[in-house]
Amino acid sequence: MPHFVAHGRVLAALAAIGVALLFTAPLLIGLTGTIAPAFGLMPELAPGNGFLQLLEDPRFLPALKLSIKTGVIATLLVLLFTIVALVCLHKTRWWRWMLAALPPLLAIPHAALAVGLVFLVAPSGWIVRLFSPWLTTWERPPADWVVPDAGGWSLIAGLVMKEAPFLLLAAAAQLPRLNVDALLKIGLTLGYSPARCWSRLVLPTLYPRIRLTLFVILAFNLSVVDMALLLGPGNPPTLSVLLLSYVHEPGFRAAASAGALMLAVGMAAFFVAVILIEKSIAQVAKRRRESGHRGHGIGLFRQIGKYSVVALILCSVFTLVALLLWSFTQRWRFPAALPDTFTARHWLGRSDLLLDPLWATILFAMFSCVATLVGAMVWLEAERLDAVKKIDWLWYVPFFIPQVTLLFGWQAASLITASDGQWLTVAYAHWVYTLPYVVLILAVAWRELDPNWNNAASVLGAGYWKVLFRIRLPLLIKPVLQAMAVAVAVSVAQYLPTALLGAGRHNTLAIEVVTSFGGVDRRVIATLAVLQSLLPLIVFSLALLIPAAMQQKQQQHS
Amino acid sequence: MNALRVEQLTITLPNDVKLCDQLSFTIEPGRVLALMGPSGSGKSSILSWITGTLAKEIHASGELWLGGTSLVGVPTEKRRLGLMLQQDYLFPHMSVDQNLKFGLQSGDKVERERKITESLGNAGLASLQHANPATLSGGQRSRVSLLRSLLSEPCALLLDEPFARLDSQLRQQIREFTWAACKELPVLLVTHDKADIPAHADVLELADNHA
Amino acid sequence: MNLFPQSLRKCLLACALLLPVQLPDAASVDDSWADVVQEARGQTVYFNAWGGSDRINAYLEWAGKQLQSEYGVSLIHVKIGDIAEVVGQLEAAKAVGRDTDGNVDLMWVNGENFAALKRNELLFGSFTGLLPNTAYVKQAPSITHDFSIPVEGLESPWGGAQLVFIYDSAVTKTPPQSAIELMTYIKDGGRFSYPAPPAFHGTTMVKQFLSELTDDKAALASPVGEADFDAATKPLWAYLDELHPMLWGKGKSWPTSGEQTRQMLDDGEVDIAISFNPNEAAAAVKSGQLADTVRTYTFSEGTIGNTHFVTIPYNAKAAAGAMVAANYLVSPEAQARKADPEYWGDPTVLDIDTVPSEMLAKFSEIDLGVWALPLGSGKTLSEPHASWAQALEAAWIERYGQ
Repeated sequence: MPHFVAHGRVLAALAAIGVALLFTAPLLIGLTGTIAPAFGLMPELAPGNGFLQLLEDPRFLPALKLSIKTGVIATLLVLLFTIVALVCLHKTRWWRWMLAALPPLLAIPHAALAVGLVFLVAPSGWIVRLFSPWLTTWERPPADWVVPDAGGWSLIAGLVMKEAPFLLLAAAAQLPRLNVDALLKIGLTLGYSPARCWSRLVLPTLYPRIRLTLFVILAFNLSVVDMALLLGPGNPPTLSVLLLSYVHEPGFRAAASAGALMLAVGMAAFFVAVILIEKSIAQVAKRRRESGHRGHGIGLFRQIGKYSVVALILCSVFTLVALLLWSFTQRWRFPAALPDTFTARHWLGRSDLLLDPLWATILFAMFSCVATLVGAMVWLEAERLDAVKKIDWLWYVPFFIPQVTLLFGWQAASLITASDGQWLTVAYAHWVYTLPYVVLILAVAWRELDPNWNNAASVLGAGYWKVLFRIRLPLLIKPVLQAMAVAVAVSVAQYLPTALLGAGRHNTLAIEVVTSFGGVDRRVIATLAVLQSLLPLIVFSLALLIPAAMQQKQQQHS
Repeated sequence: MNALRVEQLTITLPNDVKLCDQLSFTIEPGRVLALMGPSGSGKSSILSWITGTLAKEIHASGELWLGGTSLVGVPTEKRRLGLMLQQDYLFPHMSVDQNLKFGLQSGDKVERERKITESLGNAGLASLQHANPATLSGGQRSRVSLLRSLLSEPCALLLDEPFARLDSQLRQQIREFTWAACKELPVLLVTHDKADIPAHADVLELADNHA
Repeated sequence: MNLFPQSLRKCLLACALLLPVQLPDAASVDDSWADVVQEARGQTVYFNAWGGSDRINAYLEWAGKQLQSEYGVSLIHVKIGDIAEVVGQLEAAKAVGRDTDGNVDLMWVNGENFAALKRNELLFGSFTGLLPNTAYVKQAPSITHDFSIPVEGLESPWGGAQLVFIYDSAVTKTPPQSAIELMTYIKDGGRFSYPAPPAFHGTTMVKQFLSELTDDKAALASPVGEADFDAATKPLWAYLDELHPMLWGKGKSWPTSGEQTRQMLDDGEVDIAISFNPNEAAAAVKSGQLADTVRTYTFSEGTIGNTHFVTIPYNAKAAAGAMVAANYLVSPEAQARKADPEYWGDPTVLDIDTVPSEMLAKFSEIDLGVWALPLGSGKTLSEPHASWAQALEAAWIERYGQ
């Protein structure tokens, strides 16, 4: 091995291992900080037997059941939505329109979406207002349902609205690689109905490719905190929310830790169950494939499927519009379809209310954006130089440990080291939760870029850094900007890390939206939520516009 | 100018297949050595080894000399080799002159500008100085790519199927342009098209390793 | 810097010993107070206080600006959902031995949270004797005792509060005047709900029902351990069992806070909103959150009222700054603004008769409007002993929380 290469690779390896350690250390510390109190190993901080405390709480079992119900049903609906959208919309004129609409919807933070959904579907919400009293004859809001409801259906709806675009985009990205058009053509000429072509030809090859995403979604749905606080029932709440209330309750940390541990173990059990179910479905599907049944294409079903997909997407759009309307409302009484009087004072009047959390949010987002980009580049460069091995599974770890499980322990550790409430602690947590997205997004482009670009620049005499900054980064500008935009979106949406490690001192927009939901002026919450949604939308637009503008500028030159 | 000398080059793939075994050759300045052979015979790997960009999983041993200087262990960017590949690899985010400046050695600003204007003029590309590479024709791109290599003042030129992607009418024109432009350098040409090989070239045939 | 809390503690101890009998000698207070003010200059005070009302948040923003300009103390409002969280944080801090440089310098507290802090020795010490503005504070049992627990200078009073109901006079002509009437009102199609305990307004509502319905009213003033809890609460559970299926959310979903019931009143989802601030309706009408036909009232036999306080945790980093802030919060200037529905609308803890006449003007300028609880109306029932809250919350959750 030439000496200079060895030297560079050692440095690259050291830097990359540094990144990996920074990433894994909090995961290990967090798990330890949760496991130890659960088993009574930290009696000063968490006295008592956590598991006993947990089982003695009459809310525990109902909360657990509720978490399982909402998590499983929401995940099934997300999968169903994705399949229906693929079968009913692919190759129609709606398809491209939908693919364009999904990324911005994906960028809306959970909390903002949840708040908007309540404004939309409550008995006194916008939908009822639009149709009352001329159609419904309701002069007062109906008393037949409430939002959030005790059954958890509001939460399920919110989760589906948030996660369905995620899975659908992941699936759509795989279609070109599967040669779907050819598969469908062959299936149709063999006399199979379109739905059968999908279920027998495409889905069996597509599913393995979106399976990991589906697991991430299941893990999220089973353990989500912020959306459950806003949309979930309160009495009892979902397990994660119940556990969060324990952390704040004197003397209940052991129970919180024990519960968080059980949640993590339960989640693992769920994955095993899903794998078993997959196996049996695969068996059935195999037999059905061999049966030769062609099926009758039922056009009506396709129409229904198409319109329900469109309705769900419209619903997301309308939550944003509802938020926007409320943010400019002075008075808006039931059952008026639109606000009675408008005002801009929620935007202009109380700048401290918006600017302080906005600034806090931007600082964390900028830090996450830059620091994760550096971390991801260090890792991927080391990987490219063969200084470290590819270990993509590592980046998925935070997705599969419930946030409460990791963060209870991390918070315990931060208490002991007196680092709770510090800006850097919170920023570190944002980095850990953002880095996986950035690495995984960049990795694809980083690995696929033709190495001859590097070589062509090197033989012209450009050294390592010059090649990296003048050739590699500019060539990868699109994925780099996209990864940065995702980093901003993920950081802006972070509720639990900021709440737990921030000791209440770092009030980002996510925190303000969630904590003020119960009490503060609805118009102010709407303003905060709109602001929180605007940030990712702006950075995503920039990520699209900057490369386009750069290209245009170059073309004007010629 | 110095000769490019390869001695005792052995390249072994991860599956233990030897692409070449104890290969030695010398290319004097102004001479062209054409490497021929079926695909998979290791032509491109030899080129990559010379530039120092051989994939890590491929093992290679041998000596590489440029005149009296050994290039083994020298970083790619310090080897002062010109490289032209089947694709031209014009950097799409830089205009034509920026691409050329990327190749040009640093120095006096006016002098560098002069060199670029002059070389583009000689190549009949004067009007394209500030053009976006995406707007260039295939032949223009090839010429810019070659100019970029030459402006970096290489001590040897390595060409890997440089004419393969051009249509047949252009091909002859670019061939002539290339041979005229690098009269004083040792040139290694990898090709499978006998028509690419100029009259003053030596030919080295590589064996088929797919046995 | 590190020495200061020690010396201050000694000084405070002296004050505390004097306090029960008489206020400490004015000169010595002035001297040590001057030291405190000097020490406080440049300190950052983290004030952990419920952040669920943007008007309260705005008030604290204003108070912070005053403190900065008058005393060089920068007050940072750490917005909290439930102050019990902070009690938990302090317990955790004590458990891991973080006895100095704590995260919290000042906190908004009363009732069972104060009881927990006092019981677990998480308080800085008796400090209110040192504050010059304590001289203006009312000498009433509701201020010297916090939910029947002696305050002993450990916390400084900040505001008074009483459970009140807001209704829309355009919708509801005769609002119910007692728990029993409320039941009839709901049976006749009236819309109502209350936040689920342990949300503060919910717990208070349950205490209100208990105070009205129990056969053993005397038991409520003593610790719950000394009473026959099951017997005392039996009528309460019978009442709630009947009430809950008729509520908004059918007893399965609950509002999360009193403020939410106000929003629901405006939406028409309920007829009666619950508040702990007699002037909330006035402020809400002015800011466009309620119709101007709303009115505020209490049950005819009275509703639960109490005082809220600010206190300093044992491991506060900026104790001197916290005292300066606490002192400022009970100043006539700050209290007058606090009592004004324009800004907050919270009844003052000051004895208006002791306030210097030049300050009095600010109080008399306040316009409560027709929406607030009319002055002088609204009998106050005392809070049950602090220990009742937790017992009631646990029993409520046991019965209705699953």
